[in-house]
Amino acid sequence: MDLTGVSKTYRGKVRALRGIDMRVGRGEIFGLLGPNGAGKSTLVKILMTVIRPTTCAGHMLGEPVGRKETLRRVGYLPEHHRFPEYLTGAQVLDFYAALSAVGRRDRRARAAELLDLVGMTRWAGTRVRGYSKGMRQRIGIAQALMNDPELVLLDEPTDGVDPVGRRDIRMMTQELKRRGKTVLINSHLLSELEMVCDRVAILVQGQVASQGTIDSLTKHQERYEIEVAAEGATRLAGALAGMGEGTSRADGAGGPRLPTGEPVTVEGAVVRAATTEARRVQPLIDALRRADVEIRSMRAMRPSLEDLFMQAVHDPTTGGELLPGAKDGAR
Amino acid sequence: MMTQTAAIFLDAYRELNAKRLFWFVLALSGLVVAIFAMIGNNERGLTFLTWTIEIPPLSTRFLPSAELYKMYFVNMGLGIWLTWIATILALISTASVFPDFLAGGAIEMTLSKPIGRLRLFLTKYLSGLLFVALQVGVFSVASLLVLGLRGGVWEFKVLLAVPLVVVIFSSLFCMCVLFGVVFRSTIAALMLTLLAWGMIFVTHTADAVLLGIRAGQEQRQVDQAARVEATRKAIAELEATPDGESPAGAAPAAAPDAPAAPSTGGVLGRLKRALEQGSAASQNGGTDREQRLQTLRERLERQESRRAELEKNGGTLEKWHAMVFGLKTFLPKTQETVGLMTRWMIEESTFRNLQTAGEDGGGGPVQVNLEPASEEERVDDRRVQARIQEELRSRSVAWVLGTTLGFQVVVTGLAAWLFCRRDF
Repeated sequence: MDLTGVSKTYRGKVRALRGIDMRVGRGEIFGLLGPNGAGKSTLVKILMTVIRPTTCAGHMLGEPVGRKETLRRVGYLPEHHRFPEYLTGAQVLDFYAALSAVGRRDRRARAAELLDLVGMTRWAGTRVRGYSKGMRQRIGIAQALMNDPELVLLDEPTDGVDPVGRRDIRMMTQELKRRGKTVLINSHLLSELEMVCDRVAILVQGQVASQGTIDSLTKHQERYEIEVAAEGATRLAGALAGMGEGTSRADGAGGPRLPTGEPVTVEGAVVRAATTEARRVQPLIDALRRADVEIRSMRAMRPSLEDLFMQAVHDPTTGGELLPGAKDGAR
Repeated sequence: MMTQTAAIFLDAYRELNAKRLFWFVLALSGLVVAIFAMIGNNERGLTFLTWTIEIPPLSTRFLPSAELYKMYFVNMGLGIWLTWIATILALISTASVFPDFLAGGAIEMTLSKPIGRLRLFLTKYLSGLLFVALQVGVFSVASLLVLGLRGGVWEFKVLLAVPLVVVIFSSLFCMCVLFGVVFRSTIAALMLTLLAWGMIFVTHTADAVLLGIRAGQEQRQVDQAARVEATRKAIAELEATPDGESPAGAAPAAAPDAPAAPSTGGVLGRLKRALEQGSAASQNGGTDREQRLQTLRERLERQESRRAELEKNGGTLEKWHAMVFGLKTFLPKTQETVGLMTRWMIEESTFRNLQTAGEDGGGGPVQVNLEPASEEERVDDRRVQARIQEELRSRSVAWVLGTTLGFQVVVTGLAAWLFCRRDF
């Protein structure tokens, strides 16, 4: 999937998307993150022709976005999906697969296989109205796979699913990847995404705030964290004061730094050095020990997806949360 | 393509199957047909199972059993049950089809499939007509059996009720769909459709009332013209007759027992008879021919004045009726569509027989009232009815069905356009 300049302005001039550029490689599990109102669902709906974009250039599975024929090769689970209550689980799979133009014989074979995969074989003959949220979600995932899609878009697939179900969905997603499918997941459960996604994009106010592998996004924020005894605050200040001189960066930013130039920050009883190389952090430990600061623990830290997310959804200058959507002309 | 279409129709059937109302209406249809089968007629009147209700006009003397069943099917089965009761129940049952289809979480599931929006909409629309098609299909086939087994006639035209009632229902369903697409609410769609149906009904009623008044008015004009003509002739004859002689040919026309024919000659005859009476009175009083002429001229003046007045009123009425008819042209025609079945199934002679039977022997030749005291004449109901029937029958099948389908195409097209353009 290769998207360029996808935008959507609703009536009333609400700009849901402001020019999305995004790439998803074949066989990847791609996570789409963002706060409520960031435009994630709008983007997915544009891809699925549910919403018409204001502007959109790009391709999906080698075809221009918006072509109905392409959807034969795409599976989709909408957020808050609603199946006809009068259908049984098996009928749901059959109906939506038929709408995807899957032949009857294939439908039967795939339904049996997928009902087994999502653990719903026992409930296949029960009407949807009797299903729990988790069961509906499982059937929803199964219907998204009925046409044996090359690309699967899952909008909040773990919504309302218990931890066991979430693990099953995670494993199912990884199994799809193993089979060479591309999976795009839109979710709020960052820890879930972190476990399965190869790459992520964070959407904020209708724009891609950052995009890439989790490693590449977090690399420049890796650090060592040293926890010291709280009562040694004065000695800690003295130890760090000795590290500041002569290591200031050319831009004039002050504060203590390692001899190799990485900044050192203090938050309460935690000292952070912006490096994960043990060799580089040794002078800091020496300085703390010389000042008789009691070291309680020390570990190499990598920011989580949640940290990245939180950074992305807060204004770097004011620190305030970025509000969802915006009227035309507003930020 | 067929897989997708078949899936939508199968889903529609499953939806109907899950609704109790569908089975309830089907059971009621069965009951109506059962009652249909229990009714019959013999030489004395109507029969119900083993009982006979003495209604001579409905006896086999005037109405053969086959015609009775046909009339029962057209008037009761089609005209009341299918067109009104079953249609309203079907509307209640299907009003939720589109709002449910468009509900958040459901519409994404179907729009994300490789099927064009227009095709999806139209297929869904047609599948929504399935309710009525199945109901009417079952009812018509059952009625066909009753007609064949009880009436002794295998009238396959009964099956024409299926497309006709589907067309009638579709006129309402298209509005329901439009409102459903706009408001996405079952209640709003149902209420607004019933309101629109009410307004259409009012327009049709206005047309029917104005048509009735217009037909009466036109008949009055024709009668008045006949009177004027008769008076003129009487004057001409009197003027041509020398003093003291009776007008030529007056004697037979003046015979008191001679029935007046519905022609100008008959009118003339009655007028002459009236004049003869007036003349006799005048002669008794010593009045001369000039006085009789004067009386006739005064009457002619009044009659012409009245005719001008009738023509003027007729013009105004025609203008109003044309306006209402123009409006009606763009609307679906429920009653006329049902009326097509009457045209196709019931012979005109059947109506005539019934009319004759209902006249109770009082039906003589049509007469024009020439009593001098009642210039504001009563028109003959049968003539007015004949005019109305003539007017209704002049509305062709193509006009009735064409304008009804045209309405549906416009309303459904608007709903489809909204559906295709909308973001969900």
